[in-house]
Amino acid sequence: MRVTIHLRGVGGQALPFIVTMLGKRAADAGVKIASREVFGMAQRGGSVFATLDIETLGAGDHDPASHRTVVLGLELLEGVRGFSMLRPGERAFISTARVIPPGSWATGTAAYPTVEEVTAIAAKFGIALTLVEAAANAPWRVVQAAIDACAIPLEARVGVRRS
Amino acid sequence: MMLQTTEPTIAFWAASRVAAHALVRSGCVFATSYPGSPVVGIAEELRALDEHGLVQFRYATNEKIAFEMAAAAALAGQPAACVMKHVGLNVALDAVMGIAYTGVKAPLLLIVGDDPSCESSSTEQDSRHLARFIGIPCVEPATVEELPESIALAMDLSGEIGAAVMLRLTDDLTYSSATMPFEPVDAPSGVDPPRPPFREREYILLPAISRANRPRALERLEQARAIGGAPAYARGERLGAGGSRAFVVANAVYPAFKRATTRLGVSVPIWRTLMPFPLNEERIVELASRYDELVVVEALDPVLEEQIISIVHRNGVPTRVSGSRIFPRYDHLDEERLAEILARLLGRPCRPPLAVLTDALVGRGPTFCAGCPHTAFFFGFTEVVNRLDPRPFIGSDIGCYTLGTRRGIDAGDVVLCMGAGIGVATGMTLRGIPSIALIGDSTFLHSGLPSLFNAVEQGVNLVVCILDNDVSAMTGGQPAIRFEGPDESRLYSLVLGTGVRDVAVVDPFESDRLQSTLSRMLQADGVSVLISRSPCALTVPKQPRRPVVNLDTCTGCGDCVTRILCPALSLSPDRKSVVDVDLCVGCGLCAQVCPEGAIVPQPYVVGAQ
Repeated sequence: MRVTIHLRGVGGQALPFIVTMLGKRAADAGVKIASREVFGMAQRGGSVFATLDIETLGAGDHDPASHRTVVLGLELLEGVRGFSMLRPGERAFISTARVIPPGSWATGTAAYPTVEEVTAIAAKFGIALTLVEAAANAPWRVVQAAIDACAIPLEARVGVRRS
Repeated sequence: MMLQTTEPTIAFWAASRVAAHALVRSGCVFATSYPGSPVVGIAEELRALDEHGLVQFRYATNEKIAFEMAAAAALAGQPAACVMKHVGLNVALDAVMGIAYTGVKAPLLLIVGDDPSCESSSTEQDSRHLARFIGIPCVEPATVEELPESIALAMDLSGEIGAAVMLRLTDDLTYSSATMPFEPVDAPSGVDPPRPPFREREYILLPAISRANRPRALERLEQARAIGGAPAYARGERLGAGGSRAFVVANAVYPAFKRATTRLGVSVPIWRTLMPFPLNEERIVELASRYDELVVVEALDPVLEEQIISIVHRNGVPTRVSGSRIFPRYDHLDEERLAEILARLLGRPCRPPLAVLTDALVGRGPTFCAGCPHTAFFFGFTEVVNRLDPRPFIGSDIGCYTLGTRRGIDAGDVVLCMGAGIGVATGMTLRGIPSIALIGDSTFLHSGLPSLFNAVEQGVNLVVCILDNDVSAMTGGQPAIRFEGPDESRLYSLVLGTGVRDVAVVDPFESDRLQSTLSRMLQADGVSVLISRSPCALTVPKQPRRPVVNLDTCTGCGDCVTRILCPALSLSPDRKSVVDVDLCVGCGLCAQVCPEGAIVPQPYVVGAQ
């Protein structure tokens, strides 16, 4: 099985730490995992993203049709930005937390989308969207929701306290 | 080489850690750097290894000095390395060219981080070109797993031929991690005592000696070319007996290329090498003569393609070579882009992702952190400067404060390269344009000092603002200068030494004082230097206070969100100022900005709401 996870968030939400934690758990569970493109210019406040490739050895490994892409948005707007990585029918798990970009007050060119608008965008493009109630400083809830719902082979070993 | 005594365990390894540990394991005893993304992680890991006594590591004031220090060790017979970003190599180039002529007595690795797509840089540059221009071999791994062997190969190669070797990495690799077997280094490398080159003369770049050195440098490169033909360097997949088309894939692109072909469900012949320059001629002839066409897949410049074309032409092989007309010469060649191009090339269906969606969304560029002293500086600065008619030209520089150029602040008209702000502003002033220069403390020390001295020498009227926050903040807070003196600012006496007579140190959070000092300096003759001194917000504890908005007096004018662009401030739908108490660090700037006095800092215990 091959799953590609696109993690999207705001600088300061500890996205690189989440990547490291998932990686450590995968290594412990004997699952092959690689992270790449852990990007984001700002230490706090900018768009940050990372891609994780998870592979389990078994039948159908090299069948391209078995490859799934999942988007995890640790924040509403960044999650929607992650839609661009998906194809119709693929899944996204997005936090309802809103962190409004400070620059948008100065330029005022585009508005921050509402939850209803996000749901409508997902429906229009055939994305299976799950909204997760999680504060901006509790991004792990989004990760846990995806692990639970998608049977990503990390669930048994991820020992993070669910608060 | 270290003797490995324990069985490597499989763990999740970050490329930066692997690179640093592999470097020490390969015998490196001395490493230097100037912090720069995407390779600052390697330097930081080396710094941590230094603290454990496993290697000697130092940050230098700039990349040229860093390289000179590392080169000294290699000239004294001790394996060394120098880590820098691609534009840092531009700064270090003078010294690197010299070392290409002299050669080295012990392995010297020049680790360069390239940044296709400018994720954290001012330009895209392909350093493989510079390896070719300098005349040193270039080694490039494709994956985190290939890093240890590539570093070992590069160190061995450098020692064997007696030349510095470039290890070229891109951000795709340095920002990656993977589950892999690897054992961290746990003991320092044994090394002979240093033996500096006393009276050996070939390390003195005088014309006669350089003329003699040049053929030797070229000979070292030919030795590298021969070594590059060894099986350890070449990688092939599905090459078999040959056929109509094979792909020569640059290692920087290889992982994305593999994902793209997997996505398309195709399997193609691939040849790649750990040594992209100089290419081994026999290997290329052997490969080319088995295929009708070689498609070269590489990001940025056609470094492999042009070498292959000339080798194929020189040897009369009738193979067609293509690449740079198929793939774009800018940005990352990522999985999606490669899949799209390969699908066209191979006549396969490709289901593109929904990329169109993102265009309509509000952007989230990098921003100043809550409590950043630059936010306070730019508030005071724009209060003064935007009222001037004509508004002066502002030459800015490289650092977090480059974000002062963003819309809404607009403080910075030209940003060229490290240290250029003062030089550009001096030139503008000489052409009759009133000007201000902005520069950070690290950048000032990196390459601003000569420019400041020059400004004084030119006799111009110029205000230089040094934004001193103690650290190289943008790359993660490396100390800019170690100084334990009585001065209010460590830079004060340095500035006086350049001949500047008008210097003031101000705290940007005391905005009235900053504004009055700046106003006075803008009227003064000669060069004035305003040192805005306040530590990076990420290095100081949060204040035990949070602003509370008085909803009765808040008029919803929006000044708090438009004048300082603080991530902790926003407006509610009914246009009242809202403070995010988690993001807020209690700097108190917004209270100074609010024209109604509706924002009042109050004592606050984090977490005890």
